[in-house]
Amino acid sequence: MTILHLVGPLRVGPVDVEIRTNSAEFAAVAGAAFADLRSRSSRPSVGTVVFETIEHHEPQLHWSIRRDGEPCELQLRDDAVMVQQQWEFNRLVIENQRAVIHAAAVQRNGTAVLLAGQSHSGKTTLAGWLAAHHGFAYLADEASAIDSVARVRPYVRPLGLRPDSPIAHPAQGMAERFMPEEVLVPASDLGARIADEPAAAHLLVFPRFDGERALRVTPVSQADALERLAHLTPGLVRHGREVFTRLGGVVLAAPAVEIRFPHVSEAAVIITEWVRRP
Amino acid sequence: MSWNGDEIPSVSSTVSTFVPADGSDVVLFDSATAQLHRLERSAASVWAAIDGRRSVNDIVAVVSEWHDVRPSVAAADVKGALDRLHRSGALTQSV
Repeated sequence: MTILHLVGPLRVGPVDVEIRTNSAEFAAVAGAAFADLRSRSSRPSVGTVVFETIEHHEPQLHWSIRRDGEPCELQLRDDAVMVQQQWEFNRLVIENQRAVIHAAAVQRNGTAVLLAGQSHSGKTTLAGWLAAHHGFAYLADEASAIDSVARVRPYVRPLGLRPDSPIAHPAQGMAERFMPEEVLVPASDLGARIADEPAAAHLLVFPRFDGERALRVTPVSQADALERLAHLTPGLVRHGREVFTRLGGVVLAAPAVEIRFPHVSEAAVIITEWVRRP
Repeated sequence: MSWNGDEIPSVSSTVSTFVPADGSDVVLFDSATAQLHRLERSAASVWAAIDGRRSVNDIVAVVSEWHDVRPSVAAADVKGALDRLHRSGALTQSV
């Protein structure tokens, strides 16, 4: 088959990435979804990774993704190929950096708010809302890497927004073929500024979306915060002491709160007021 | 296990310690097992007294001074904490 279309170069954590594909439609959709990842970092790249994302028509329609020639997935449907491509980016971030927390992050005036939690806790929605409506710059989602001085490194992947998301986002158009449920939306499409430099951790939030209960803000002790972060950091098992030390640095630098919220706008106001404090 | 007074507990080389600034529990991480261990206040005092040179008797004396209790009162708590720390893999012992 002929590879005619190129998406990139993109900056995925510390790695430059290109996607090569034989599908003009996929190239257009991926190019739009990953627009914020177009390389802009001043940090040197640790290397370039090439993905080949190929549409096959025999024996029936399916997709394959290879990374530097090695197979990642070989039997993907239309509605899984973008999700898998995004996951491969997350994997690159985790592989190439040690202390990567399952968290989103936004920043203002060089200081970061880290939104850490399991899937469906509301961290992506909260990050998108803060960036779209409260003047924060979007810094990261899903995989927030912490450096040795408790700064959060940029990873401006698109935000995964579900149909019931309170964040208004542009119509999917031809992306619907690839993303019938969760849509990958670049934060810049929401009017957000995009951060391109690391930001020091200033506030640590454990969001907990709960549509049935009233807003509640609960301080989290440093010991509890460290334990929660440890469970959200897959690299702790592999890299041990170094990662533990970095997580401890975040906990000591940033007060921690749990925010249980029925609507994202209420939690965003709390966070914005907190960040304004001297 | 039980500790006698002359034994010298030492921190395992694979253990890292997080000391919070807000008075919450000390947290240990053992990279050999990838386990976290939380130490409430009395165990954290024992942990802080372990320096690889103090014997169990020395640790009892130090902890009883810190908490202003008689050594005979502190001894059981100290040995209990040492047992728990040893079982968790955080301590080694030598004579």
